[in-house]
Amino acid sequence: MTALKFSRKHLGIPYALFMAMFVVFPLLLIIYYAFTDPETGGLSFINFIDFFTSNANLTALFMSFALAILTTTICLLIAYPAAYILARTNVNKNGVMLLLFILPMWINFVLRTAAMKELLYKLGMFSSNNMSFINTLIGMVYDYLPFTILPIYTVLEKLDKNVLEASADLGANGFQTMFKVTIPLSMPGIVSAITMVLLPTMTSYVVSDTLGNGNVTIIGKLIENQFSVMYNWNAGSAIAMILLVLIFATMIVTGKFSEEDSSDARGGGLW
Amino acid sequence: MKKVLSLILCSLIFALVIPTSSCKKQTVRELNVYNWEDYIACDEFDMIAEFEAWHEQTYGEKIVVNYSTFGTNENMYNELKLTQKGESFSYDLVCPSEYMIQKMIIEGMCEEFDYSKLDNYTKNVAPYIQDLFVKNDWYKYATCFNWGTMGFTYYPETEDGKGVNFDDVSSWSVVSNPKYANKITIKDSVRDSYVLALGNVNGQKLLDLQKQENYNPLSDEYNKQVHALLNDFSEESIEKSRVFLTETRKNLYGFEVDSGKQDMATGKLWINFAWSGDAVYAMDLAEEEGTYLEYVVPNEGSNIFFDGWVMPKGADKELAQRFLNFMYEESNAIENLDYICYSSPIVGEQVFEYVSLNYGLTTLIEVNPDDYDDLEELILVGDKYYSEVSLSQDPNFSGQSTYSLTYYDEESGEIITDEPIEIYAHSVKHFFGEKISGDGIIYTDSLNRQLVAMYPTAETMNRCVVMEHLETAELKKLNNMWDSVKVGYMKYSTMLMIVIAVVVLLGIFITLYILKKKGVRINLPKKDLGTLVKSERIK
Repeated sequence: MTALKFSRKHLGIPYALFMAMFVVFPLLLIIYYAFTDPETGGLSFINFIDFFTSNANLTALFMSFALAILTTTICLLIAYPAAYILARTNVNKNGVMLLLFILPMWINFVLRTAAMKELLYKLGMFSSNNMSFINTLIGMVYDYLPFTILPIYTVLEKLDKNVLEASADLGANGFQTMFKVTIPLSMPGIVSAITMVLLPTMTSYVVSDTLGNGNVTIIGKLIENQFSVMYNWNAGSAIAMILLVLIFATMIVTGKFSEEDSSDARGGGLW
Repeated sequence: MKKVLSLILCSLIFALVIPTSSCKKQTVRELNVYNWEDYIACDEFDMIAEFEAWHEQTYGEKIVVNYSTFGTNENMYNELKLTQKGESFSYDLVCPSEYMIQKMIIEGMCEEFDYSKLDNYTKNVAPYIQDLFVKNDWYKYATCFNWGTMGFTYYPETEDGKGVNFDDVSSWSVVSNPKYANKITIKDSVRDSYVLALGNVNGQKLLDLQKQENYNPLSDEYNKQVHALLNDFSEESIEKSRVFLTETRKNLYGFEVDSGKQDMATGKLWINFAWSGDAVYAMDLAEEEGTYLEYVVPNEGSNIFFDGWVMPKGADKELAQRFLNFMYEESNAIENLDYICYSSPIVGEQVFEYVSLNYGLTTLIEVNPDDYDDLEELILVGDKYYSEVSLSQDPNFSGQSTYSLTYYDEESGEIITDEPIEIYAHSVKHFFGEKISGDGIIYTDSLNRQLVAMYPTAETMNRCVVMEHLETAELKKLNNMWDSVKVGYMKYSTMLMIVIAVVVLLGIFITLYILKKKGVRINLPKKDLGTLVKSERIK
């Protein structure tokens, strides 16, 4: 009776099933919808043609990308020093500081955004509709900062101190160590932070609707429109697919640059 | 056997995932109602529970009402389509807005009503609403639940120059008035904001209608002309609307669908393009803060909207109609009206009394307690009993334009008589019709507040029209227009330049990267070898 042997592989079955049902199947559905004509139901590229011939869609895409890249950059600029201080110095001895940084993640996203609106209003940031973009940017950075700090922190925390000492022994000053050793070694954390921020900022229209007073329209809002106002699931799926492809392309490019460095540091990165 | 084990695991997971709904007993008859959020009385008077009790009492049969809610018409429609089984749908009664009702009727998704089973509807619903439904051929499939107009909620002008001038806000053109820059919001929805755009684009034509020789604000002819101008979906008008809205949005504070009510009450905004029901809600809210907002339907004409009940195909018609008949009962309708603030199409003596007591001016008069069964309704001051009555019921009131109101002051426990104020007579007879016996006049101190927002004058109602259901192609055009307004315009050449710049930058990076990588792999060992060889030679 070799048959009833329980191998460790079997533990993976539930996950495989889950993935198939809730990740692969929906993705296939999106692809199916994206390539079908909403009227005839046949195979067609009409949804993609519609997307690329509409100025509004393309403008929204560019604007979203600009917003996403700005948000990610600002997040990284704030998060890296913060994570470095948390991981390398004594301020985070009891984990309290880290907790304070992560705490906002446990409070409802919509609620935080609404609170941000009140705060910005009190600060006079809503005095004119020209401020909408900046308000949205502030809201996005605020909402996604914990997602940037956490992966970078994890990588920096695990960084071997001996490496830094070696760098100092070999005559590098603090500045050189930072740019030649610490940052390259924490690349996996940076890449996973980008992954967690770039796509959501292009689609989380709750923030732009609340803080932008409807003056900032990002691509996620257009997808929602196609689904809920136009009943055009096909066009909506097509936009979602275009977004997916763009994000994948971005990931591959960022991933490539960090590939050679990432082999040294284990853990921390999401992939 | 490995396979057997995985099969067992599989079935285990499925047993966990699929809920145990299959073993439900099908003994009790169920009514599935699908309604807007917050659209039915459910406080002390719970419509659903009352109906279940009433049904058991009247028909001796226990039933269950499954009540669920939706947030937008489109979500409701999608849900219906997703749960469709063959020809029938999983709900017995749904309550969409007018354009969705039209769409559902066109698509043949609705069951016909049998009006002999809905005697409360024919008895209690305002003739105006019944006519509107007959005129548009919807009465077979839909019954009205709530209705209202679209207009502006505004913060009226104060002495120190703040607030909005009444003449300005009674025209659609107020949205582009630089005097109110950054103080106006409009709806973040194509259908609603298109009316606003048309009101401006066709504004002059709409006003010219009122200068015609045989102009009569109450004529059907005038209403038809307004209807045509506010249902103008020609390409030219859509393009003009795009230009107008793109230009106007610079003057706006923003777009919203829900936050406007709060923002008006707190004073962030001065003008909010709103549904009359929301306007009433905002006014109530602002009153608590001590501000008094007003509502006006622009002179050019506007939209009238309603939400109505339809029975999707395959509904339990008997039960659904019993439920509707129960809700159209006058006293039940009042409970609902009290809860949701939107104007109900139900009219009658009781509704009239409710409206005049709640939204008209009221005063206290001395009464004889022997005439009343329930003394708790009365106010006792000293040894005298007083009752609150609306002005139209006050025997001492004769309809003069200034009057002193009397009210009970809880703090001092005294009856206080106010300074005389100017009062206006507002007739609702055109809406209540023959369902009430009196002259249908309710007195008010302002013609632009809750009462008039809920029950507009006959003239206002005649210049409000229903926006028709749009074909997919037209809706697409409109939606593209809206997208372009909301998103803005970027030149194709700019886009191209950005793409080229990104590609060039990427190209440089990738080349550098490849060069570097090659350098690491090939050059380094060679160099090492070279030095090795050199050093050997030196040796």
